Amino acid sequence: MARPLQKIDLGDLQGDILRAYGNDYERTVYAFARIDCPPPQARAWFAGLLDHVTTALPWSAGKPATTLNVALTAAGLHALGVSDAVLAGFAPEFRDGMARRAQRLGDVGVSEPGRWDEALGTGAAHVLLTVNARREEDAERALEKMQAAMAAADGVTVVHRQDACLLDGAREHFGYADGFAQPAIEGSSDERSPGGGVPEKDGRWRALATGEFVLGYPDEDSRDDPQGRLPPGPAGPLGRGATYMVWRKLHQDVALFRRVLHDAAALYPAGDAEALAAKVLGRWPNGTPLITHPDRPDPGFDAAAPHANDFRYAGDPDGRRCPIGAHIRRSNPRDALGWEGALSFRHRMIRRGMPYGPPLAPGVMTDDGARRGLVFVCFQASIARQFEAVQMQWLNDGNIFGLGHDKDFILGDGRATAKMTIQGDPPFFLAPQHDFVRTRGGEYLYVPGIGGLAALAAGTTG
Amino acid sequence: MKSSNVSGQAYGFLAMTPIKPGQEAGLRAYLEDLRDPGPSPMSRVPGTHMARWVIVERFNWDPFYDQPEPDALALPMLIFSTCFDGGLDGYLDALCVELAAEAPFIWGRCIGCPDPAAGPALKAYLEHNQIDCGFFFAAYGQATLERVRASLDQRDRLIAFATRTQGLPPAEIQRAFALEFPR
Amino acid sequence: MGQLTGRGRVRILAAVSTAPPAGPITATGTSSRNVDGQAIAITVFSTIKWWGRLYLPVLFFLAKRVPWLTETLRKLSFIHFARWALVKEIPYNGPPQPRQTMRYAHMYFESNFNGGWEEYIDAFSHIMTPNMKVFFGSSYGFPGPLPVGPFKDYIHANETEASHYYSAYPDATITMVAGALALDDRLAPLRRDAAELDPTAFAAAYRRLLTDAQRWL
Repeated sequence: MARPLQKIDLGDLQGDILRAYGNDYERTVYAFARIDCPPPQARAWFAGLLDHVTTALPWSAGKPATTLNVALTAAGLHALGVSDAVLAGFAPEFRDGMARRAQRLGDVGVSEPGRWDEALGTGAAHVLLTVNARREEDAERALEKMQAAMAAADGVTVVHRQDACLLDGAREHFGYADGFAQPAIEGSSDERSPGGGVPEKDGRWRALATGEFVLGYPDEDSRDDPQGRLPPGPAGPLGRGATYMVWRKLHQDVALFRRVLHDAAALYPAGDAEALAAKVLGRWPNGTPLITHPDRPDPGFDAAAPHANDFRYAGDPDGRRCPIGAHIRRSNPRDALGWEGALSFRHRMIRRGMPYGPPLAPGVMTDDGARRGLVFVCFQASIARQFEAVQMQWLNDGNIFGLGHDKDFILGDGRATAKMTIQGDPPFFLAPQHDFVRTRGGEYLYVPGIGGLAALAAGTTG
Repeated sequence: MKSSNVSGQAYGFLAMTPIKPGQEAGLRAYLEDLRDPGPSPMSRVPGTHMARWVIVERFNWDPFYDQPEPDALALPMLIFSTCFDGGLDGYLDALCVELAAEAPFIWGRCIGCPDPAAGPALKAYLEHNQIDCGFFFAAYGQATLERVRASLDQRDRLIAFATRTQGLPPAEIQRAFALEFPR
Repeated sequence: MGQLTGRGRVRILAAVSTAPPAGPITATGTSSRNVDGQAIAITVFSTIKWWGRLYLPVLFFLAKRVPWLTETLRKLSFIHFARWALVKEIPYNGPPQPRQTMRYAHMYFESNFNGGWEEYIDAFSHIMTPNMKVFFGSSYGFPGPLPVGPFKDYIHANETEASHYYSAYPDATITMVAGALALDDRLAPLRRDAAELDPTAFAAAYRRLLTDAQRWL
């Protein structure tokens, strides 16, 4: 069905959402600020940020040394004076905040909000300032300027700061190359990228509607609506060019993960610890997908190559190439659930996470006590449908895949009987499954468009 | 036994009873508190897979529908729906015994319920108010509750067994298997 | 608190119970009263147009006898038990019940299913699109299965929350039950013969069992 191609107003959208800033930006600083002054004063400070916010417009004058993006929690919107009537138009899970959703997200036991890092999940986090920088000194300089502006405002303080830094080879701490397979979105540069969208017959892929990720644009449901109505969202300028953001600090117990894989590999007949690790993720450490290369990685794998992401699972229904419960197969099933992705196409996320903390030296299997892990960041139009549903139904449970209550092995499971089945002849049961990943804190945030930011600063959000 | 209520060996019983005027709030509160504390009373009725009590006060009507008038349900009604094994007759007999403590506070609040709400009189009341299914779907209608539970338990045990004996010498696995899963 | 759906309706989402859950939380998007462990109850009445009184009995008759009408439902593996009934009147029990309580006939639909409420209706909309038209076609106000938004609003407006819901095996999903039953059939011969086989034969039989049964474990 022919529709005019949706033109995205890039000048009204913050950067790093539809298109990543890129791996040149090796350092990221996340600074959560709390507002303790009355809304008019807070807005005056907020207005001072706007000139520095990086939009989605292509860079015409070369790459800036740093970028700045701004997001707010529900408490932050309130602190800036957004009325209750307007706040009521935001999604209920966003207004709840991540800490209140802890049980459903599996943030229990060692991951419960009571144990989270300073200020996170307490309602103290109001405004998240994300600075991406190519060099550390540029990041520090940007932070100093922001701190000075806060000091001058007298009533805005940083309550939590997390620095993140790319590791060698764009890997994360468990050693996997990650983060390069993103949704193909209509109107964005990646829209024709095969593998990133909805799988269609004959091997083709269709880009996802912009509104699945950016509010104020038609989403997949709008396609089926003869009136083309837009999905619901906040009223007024806040509802356009915006998105919801999930920020989640995940501690990774690298030593424990290595030990479990090392011990299990002794019994694994089909390979070594690296092969087992590949089965757990669904990719070899260098990023080669298991589904295309089940026996050994492709040494020439290039994530940026046009067809690097062009693969499907329907030809492997028994999981012999890529296990049914492998992480990437769970988090983006493509056609694995049947019916050309009809059960999964509305649950996609844009991911922009960054590792934090020093790497654990290769081969070391005892914990050094360092804080390291992943700052998981994703953008979507609906936190409940896109982030939470995946977390609850696909990662923290296995029923949709026929795996009972098996959880994603990488995230972990504290139950004594937990395991991952590596399908084969015979199958291999990978156990024990510990809490390899622990939630150290998180927030649900809103990323207003440029017009929305201006309305917030001016107090004209309605 | 109407075959439209049956799928495999499973039976879908549905009863709709009008609630006595003024009793709806009390009935609702009672049903909502049934698990507080302790398990559902339906766990005592043998062969029950799933069951629900639902109170319907009115039917939805929206001026945007092309429905000419609202259907103002004259009295709120109590729906009782259960999916169970085998024959209706024996099931209702057991239910009217097992729910002797609760029935007076549930169907006892409905018009026409015998007093005491127990035994054959209650069974007749429920049969009188049965609504036949047009179509009853059961995903595993051939399996009794006992078989479902036993199979689920066996599945759990096999998973635990296969995981903990992985890599052991075959003779040892065989011995352990014979112990864990006797003939 | 509610969420304006943008079509003029407010959906109330009840909080998840604060008692620690026995298993993973997957039963989302509906009141906690409709939930027992992994099992979710949905109870829906829709008012039927005059011709539905003739049409629905024929549909129900066919549904039982023509397997492909319910084939997708089985493949989706979401539903433990479901039923449809055409309710023209509830039986008469004497005063003060009036002889006639209903002006129209109503279709009663209930289901016991797994996974979230949102995902359940999504599957009906996207995958069982023609089936939805067939089942709800004679219901007043049915907006069609797509787009999903108005259809979910319609179901929600016509749904009634259970006051009490019970499952005898709340932790298990349909796929787990089906897998456990299939496993039982597959395991029975080995249970019978295990002690008599020599170790090599047992090892081979056990390996075959695990290989055949892995999708159920």
